Amino acid sequence: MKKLAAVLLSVLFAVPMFSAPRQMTFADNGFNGASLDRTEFKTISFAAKENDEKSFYGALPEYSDDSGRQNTCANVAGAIVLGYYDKDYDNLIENFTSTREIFGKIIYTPQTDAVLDVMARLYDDMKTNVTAGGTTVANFKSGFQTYVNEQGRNVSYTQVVSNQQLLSSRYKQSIDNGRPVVFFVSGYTVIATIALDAESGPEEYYEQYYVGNHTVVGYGYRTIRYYNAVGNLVKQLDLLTVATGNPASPLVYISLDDYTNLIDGYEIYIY
Amino acid sequence: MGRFERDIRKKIEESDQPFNEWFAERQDRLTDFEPPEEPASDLGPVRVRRRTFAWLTGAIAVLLVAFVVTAVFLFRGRSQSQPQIPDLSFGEEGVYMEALTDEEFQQTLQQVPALSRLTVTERRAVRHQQDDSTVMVIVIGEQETAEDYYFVNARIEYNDNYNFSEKMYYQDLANKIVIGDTQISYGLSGQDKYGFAEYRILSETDDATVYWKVSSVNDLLEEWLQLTFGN
Repeated sequence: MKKLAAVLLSVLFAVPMFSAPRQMTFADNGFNGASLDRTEFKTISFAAKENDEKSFYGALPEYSDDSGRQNTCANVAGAIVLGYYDKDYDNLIENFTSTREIFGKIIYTPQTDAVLDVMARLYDDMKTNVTAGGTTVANFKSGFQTYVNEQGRNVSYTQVVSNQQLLSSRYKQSIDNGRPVVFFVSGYTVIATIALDAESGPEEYYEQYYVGNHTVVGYGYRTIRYYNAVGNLVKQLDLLTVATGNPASPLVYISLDDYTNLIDGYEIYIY
Repeated sequence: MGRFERDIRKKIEESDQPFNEWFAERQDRLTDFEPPEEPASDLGPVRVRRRTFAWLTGAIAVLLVAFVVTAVFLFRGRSQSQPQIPDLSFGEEGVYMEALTDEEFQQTLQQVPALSRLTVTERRAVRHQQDDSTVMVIVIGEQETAEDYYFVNARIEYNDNYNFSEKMYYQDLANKIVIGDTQISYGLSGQDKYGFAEYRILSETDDATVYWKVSSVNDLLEEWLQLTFGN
């Protein structure tokens, strides 16, 4: 009897060790893909400022989901990428052309039901909310590839995040090549793109700290270095320019500070 | 009856004395109510006895130190966060979005007639998670004239406790004008994603407070202001 009990206990304790770890899912709590934890006002005194930035002309399509489906941020991110490439491959989004020309300028077309239909297909292809709330990274990649293949195209992924660190050179290369990057974040710091425009000190802006897991699409970067009167660097901001899927603030900076956690990230190239 | 009780009774009986006799023996003492007088003696000069409050002094000292330390921490806390962070009654975490109904959109148009001039591309309701009340309506659209093409994002406020992420950037706008019944503040906020000049505009009437973001291909903002708020 004692031997039997010992064997049973061993099995019970061994099961957690050998069972597959649950994959992280990315979803929306609230709307911006996560919950706003707090806002802090920031001030940077400076005498000189250096700004290095690059982003796609026209950024990315500002799609969002009002279908009522839950935890769809990965689907929206996928639709945004498809809308970006649709200007090159018009059949990516059926019954829809993602750009038009106005006064000689190429402008993104506002989303229609055709874009919502894409999100609905991605919801199924990415197995959103099947095992848990949201979408895993693996299902995002496989589901997105399924969709792209069905539309007669191919997709390749190039990792730009390793060990939760941004591979900066790789990311900049993606931006230089005009290829959007999908980021999976867990907790992140947001700064509005209309901020950080002071020509002389101090720089005053707000940081918003979000908790939760979300999917965003990067289309640019910005690095700002602030110097004091004697030329010493006093502060550096490293920022990703991303599309969030939130119509209230569709395009924001995500600050690569100690609070932001990049879980994973892939350049997406459709060809 | 036990021995102890018998002993007590015996003593009582032995000491028993008629009351009159007993009283007569002690009458002088029993009727004398004057306190015994002590002879006067010189106790020396009068001295005021000082009552010490050492314990109270120590307590006050401790309280003073605690007060100073608390005041220092409070002051430092305020200094580090100057200017004061707005009172964020609720932000994005307290709301959810869904499509605006046709009826709600018609009501919005009645409050902000200028929106009827837009080709609306998107309209959403922002609702409070606690009670599903509408805190904001977002209307996004475009407006074409002979001279320019405008991209318009309007947020119509229904609950001023809702602090959407860009609300603070509408404070202290540089330019202020009045067109009709509308008070307008506006300022250049930079360029939009196409490189067009983009403006933040705050309009206030008795019916509505609206946060606008407007950009255009040819930067004819004055034309748009007159079209939107005039007549």
